[in-house]
Amino acid sequence: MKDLVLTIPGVNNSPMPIPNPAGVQAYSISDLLSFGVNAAIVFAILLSLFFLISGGFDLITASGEKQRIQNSKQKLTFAVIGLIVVLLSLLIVSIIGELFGVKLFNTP
Amino acid sequence: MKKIFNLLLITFIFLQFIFVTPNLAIAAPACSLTTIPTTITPNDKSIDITIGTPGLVSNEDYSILFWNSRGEKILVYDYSRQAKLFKADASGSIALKNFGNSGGLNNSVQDNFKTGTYRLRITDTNQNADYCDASFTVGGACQIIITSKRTNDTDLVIKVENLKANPDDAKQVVIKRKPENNDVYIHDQKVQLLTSGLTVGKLVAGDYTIEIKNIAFLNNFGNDQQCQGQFTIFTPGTEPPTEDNNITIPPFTPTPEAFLNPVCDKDGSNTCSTALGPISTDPAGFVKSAFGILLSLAGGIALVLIMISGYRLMVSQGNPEKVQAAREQLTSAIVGLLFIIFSITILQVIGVNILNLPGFTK
Repeated sequence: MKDLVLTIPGVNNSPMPIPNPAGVQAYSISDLLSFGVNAAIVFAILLSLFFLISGGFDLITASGEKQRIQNSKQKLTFAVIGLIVVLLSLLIVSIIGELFGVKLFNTP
Repeated sequence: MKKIFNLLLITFIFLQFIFVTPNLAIAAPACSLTTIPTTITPNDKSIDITIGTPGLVSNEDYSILFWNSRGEKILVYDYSRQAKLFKADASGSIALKNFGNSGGLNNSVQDNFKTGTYRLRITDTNQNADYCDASFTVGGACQIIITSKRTNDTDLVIKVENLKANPDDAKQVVIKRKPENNDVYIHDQKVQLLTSGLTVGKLVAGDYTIEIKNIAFLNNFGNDQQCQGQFTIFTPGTEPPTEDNNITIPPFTPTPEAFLNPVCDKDGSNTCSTALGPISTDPAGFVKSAFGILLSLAGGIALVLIMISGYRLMVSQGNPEKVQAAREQLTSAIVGLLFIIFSITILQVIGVNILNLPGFTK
């Protein structure tokens, strides 16, 4: 018989608890990951806002030049499309999971 | 074409992982077990155990695994610090003389047995095949008598009987208030004071638990109760009418815990709780749990990949090459996820329905 689990022995084989660092409320890997996902969505919103502003600025300073208007329009479009993809990413993965009846996120 | 080939390769590597199941612990039959003395108390330093099962061959070598009350494995060493082997006698049983809590056989300083459930298992010399399991419990020997009126206007006096220890030794007295389990009294007291009567002081009305422990010291960390019990303190006038003001807390017997694998099966549910969630220890359940974990991982990776492609679309500023690359990443992430989800079905179709591989069934 071989144990799959590694025990970290303390003094005379007593268990050694490993506490969370102060201020961290994560109890599992999924907690940590969901924190990262939330942060990524917030950052995506900020980034898309930045590209919308910079695209609008380009559009103002294009002064009627066709090529520059085209470029700034595309910049605006993809800022929005990218944001939509990021926002829908959770939905896409969970829809795939639901469609084929598997649990892709093991959150209770 | 190359992309599809890579995807298939990854899927097959993934399937390899699923179908290699490790040799996991499966419950063994129960051993016959007799101990001398029959009821073991924390006063005992070493005991004699006879353990056996009809399957043991006379004069063969066997290993014995030993777990303490906290489910930690203790190796049974011989004098040269090697895992000790034992010979079975003609009746198919193994005798352990002077068996101590530290697992050593009378060759080192041994701790007293702590209260709780202990477990032994007979295995072959490589510790691969399990022959049988046995367990015994160690209960408290001493009893606590509360000699004062159990009201909150008198000092509480406790007396401990049958505490077989040197009068100059000290034991830890811990009184906790329920339900918050706050320590209201935690002091080391000499055994002679405990046996003659210890004045604890006034306690507010409520429910309490009391424990007499060995002093927390390097060697006996943790749950080393000598005796334990519960009592209630009342406000004067509300206490139940009794002729006797004393309350006696009898020696306790721990309820035997049925555990199969001490680390993984503490509650007997055949699962290991890990950071990735509960993992089953029987082969079919293990495959299921592993598949579940890998699916979750795949879902998480796909999520991150889709997010990254969204970012790439955002910063592409309409550059056709960058847009194309981001789009490809998005579709590959989704297609890869679908392949992983369908891997089981693909394997079933190829292995069971088409090739009829031996060992693969639905």
